[in-house]
Amino acid sequence: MLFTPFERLGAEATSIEGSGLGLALSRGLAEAMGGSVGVVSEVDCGSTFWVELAATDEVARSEPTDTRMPALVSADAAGGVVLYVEDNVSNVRLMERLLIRRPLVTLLHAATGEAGVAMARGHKPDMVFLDLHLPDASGEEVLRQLWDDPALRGIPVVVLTADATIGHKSRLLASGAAAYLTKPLELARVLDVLDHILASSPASSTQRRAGVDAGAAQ
Amino acid sequence: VSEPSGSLQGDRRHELKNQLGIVLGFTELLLTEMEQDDPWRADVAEIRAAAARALELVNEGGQSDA
Repeated sequence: MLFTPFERLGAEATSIEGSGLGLALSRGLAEAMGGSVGVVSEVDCGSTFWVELAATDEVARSEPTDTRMPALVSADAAGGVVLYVEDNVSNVRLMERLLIRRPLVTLLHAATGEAGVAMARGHKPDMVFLDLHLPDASGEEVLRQLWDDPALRGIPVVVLTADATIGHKSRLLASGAAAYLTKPLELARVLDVLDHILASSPASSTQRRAGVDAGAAQ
Repeated sequence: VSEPSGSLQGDRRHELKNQLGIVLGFTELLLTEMEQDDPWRADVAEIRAAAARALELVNEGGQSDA
């Protein structure tokens, strides 16, 4: 009776809610693993419930399932021009492969800090992914140069780094970084940040350029 | 001050994490693209799990010299 689903002994005499499934489920799970569940009870004294499971030397490894990865593809996510400043070719290729899921996004790449600042000036991207470990300059220095140029200051910069400390993060955010992502990159998170920034970007890059031109004409 | 044995120093640790990040990133991409019943799926998952374990080891090694 105790292990019968939806049977709760003495349920009518208590205000505790429940469906009466706990013990039935426990027994089902134990038996599914080749074990068993039982009870020894003595009136006015107490009950001892026991679970018996086979011991094993080796831990069975279940195949990881994708819990956080839907296809990640979004054809209607906002588009724009993204500049990735990164010296590691494999990381660039990874970003290229990831951004296939964003058909409206154009990816530009610079392998050094100097080239990155020059490309930012030349292309006025909608956002920048900036690796902090560059061959010619620190990412902080590149961030400062982007911030010092009034024409570039409005471009959101997302910093990517494997050296994550809280102090470091707050210092970079205080220096003008729009967001901070730690390596190894969580791909779904990269797309979240990208989508968020491009969606809230005041204009597409063409409109932005038109705005800059109009400002210069005044 | 000598480094504790088994720990990795800054630049090496950084580079190792970077390389592991590449393995993790590409295997994650592959897993998103493969069908659930793809016969290679379990193999790719093993590679990814091994890289994730390696990353944990690197991070553990980093705590002592942080």
